[in-house]
Amino acid sequence: MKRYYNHIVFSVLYFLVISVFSQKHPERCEDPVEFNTSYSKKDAIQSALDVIVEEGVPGVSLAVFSDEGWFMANSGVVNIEKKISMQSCYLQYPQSIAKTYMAVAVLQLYEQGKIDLDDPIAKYLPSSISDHLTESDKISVRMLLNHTSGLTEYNFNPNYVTKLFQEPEHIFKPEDYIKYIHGKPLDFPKGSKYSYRNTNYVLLAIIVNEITGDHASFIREVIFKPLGLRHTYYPLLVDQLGNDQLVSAYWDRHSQGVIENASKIQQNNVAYMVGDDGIVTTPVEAIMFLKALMEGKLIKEATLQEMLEWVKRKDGSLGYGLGIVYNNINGFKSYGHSGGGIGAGAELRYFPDKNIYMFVSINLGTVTESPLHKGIAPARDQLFKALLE
Amino acid sequence: MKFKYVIIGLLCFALHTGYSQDDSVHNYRNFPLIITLQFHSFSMPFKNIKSNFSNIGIGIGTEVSYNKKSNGVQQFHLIWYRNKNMGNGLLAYSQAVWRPSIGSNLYTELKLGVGYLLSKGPSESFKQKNGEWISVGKKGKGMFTIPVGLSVGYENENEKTYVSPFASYQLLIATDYNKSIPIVPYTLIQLGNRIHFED
Repeated sequence: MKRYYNHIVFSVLYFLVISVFSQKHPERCEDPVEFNTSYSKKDAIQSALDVIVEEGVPGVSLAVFSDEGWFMANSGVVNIEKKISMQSCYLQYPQSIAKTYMAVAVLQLYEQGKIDLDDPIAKYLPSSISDHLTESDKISVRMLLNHTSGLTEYNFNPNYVTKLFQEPEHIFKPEDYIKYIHGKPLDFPKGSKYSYRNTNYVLLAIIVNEITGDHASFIREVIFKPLGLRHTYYPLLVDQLGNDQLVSAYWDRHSQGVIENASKIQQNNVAYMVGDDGIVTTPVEAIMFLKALMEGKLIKEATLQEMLEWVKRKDGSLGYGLGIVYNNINGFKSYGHSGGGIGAGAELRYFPDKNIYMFVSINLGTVTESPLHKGIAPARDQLFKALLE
Repeated sequence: MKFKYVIIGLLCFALHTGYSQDDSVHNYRNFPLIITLQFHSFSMPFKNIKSNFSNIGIGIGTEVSYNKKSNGVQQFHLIWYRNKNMGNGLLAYSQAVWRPSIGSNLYTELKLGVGYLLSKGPSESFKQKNGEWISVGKKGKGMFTIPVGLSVGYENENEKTYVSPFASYQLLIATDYNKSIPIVPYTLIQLGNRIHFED
């Protein structure tokens, strides 16, 4: 009897040891940078993040760089089913913030004399694409960069949306996105106004492909490598990366305040987007990118000033530069970008008057309306108030 | 693409011949058993037809004639389909059917109706309660739908128990999918048999 008892005890112990070591998600992952544990705004920021989670967001991750150094905070979970806490080492989906990276790549080619921002896009695009685009001989590269081209939006096309959702594993090539707008008239006369279109940045990716051979390799070479961004990936190769480094993505499909795990479609969607989206990164590395850009480490000062020449929004306020957005938040100007996807949302901002950089990301989809978003908006205001006061 | 032209061609032929034919067969019997195989997709009409064949379902239904003939009937259907990526669904609908003959026991159909779709989620869903995430299963949503269909089929009403095989292509316009997308398109390819039992 005692022998059997020993066998049982050893079996249970063996099972426990194996279980612990086979956990894919560490209890606590390594912080990517040393951070200031006595940051003056840490309690107010943590409280705002906790409210975001209380309002129905599974998880939120934030990084800040200011005169007080680095600060990171998290709330909620990376994955609801496995109850894994959100931590700063997880890869987030910046979504459209990728446009700033794409714009920097184009501006580097501009500095190298390989592209003229005021030349027509037909000069750089393969004829198989430019022949199908309305006024491609008159729309300039700059108009793509600042969303004044008038080209129509590919992801408004219901054939694209249905294909994406019904066949999430379908591989979209850059030219596939453009096929959805073949021969479509411009939404407004080119250069006449600003109207945000993802199509513009897909075309920029194709242009950079034509000049460099592969825009993704070029971005890795001229941005990720010199900045030492070891946890920033483009494109997203889920098979190589593995699921355990990425946050799970959740979506309120029917606007009912009920969320489902939409990680599969989120990953596939992000994996095949080019130029307009497609990067995954950590909060700290997102800030490292914007900080390097603003400090003139990626493009020259004169080019940066050109990047920060804003076209205006409908209401006359400053709107969009070359791959970068101007906002006024609580009376403070901010340069950066935001992004939204099926299962994530993010903001990357620099407040020059305060010398504060911040990145915040949630693993709840923001592209379709949800009652959960209503509670997030005041919590977001609370976050900015805490950060900027 | 070819499939679209076949359907449109048959429809034009039906419209042309439907008006010119005398309905000479009068052995129609109400309340047949309609059994169907369903192939479902979240697609625009006549697009991405291959994906329909990844999502199979079954259906049962019946019909009643407006005029003792088979060329004007009201159909009632209940179908269930499996769709791994968009979620399974249970659909109940009724359609008014205009069924012109195109000769040699062949017919086509034009269908229009209303229905209710209970669309389940493709994966487990969660709701937050007192700070905890609680599973609510594959919670879905009920949506009103407008099904519009085209069919071709064969029937021989002179047989005692006659079986009428048919193929249909249906577009389901579902309403109130979510607050950002008020209507969505689904398509169904249906292969079925209408079995009119002996009186």
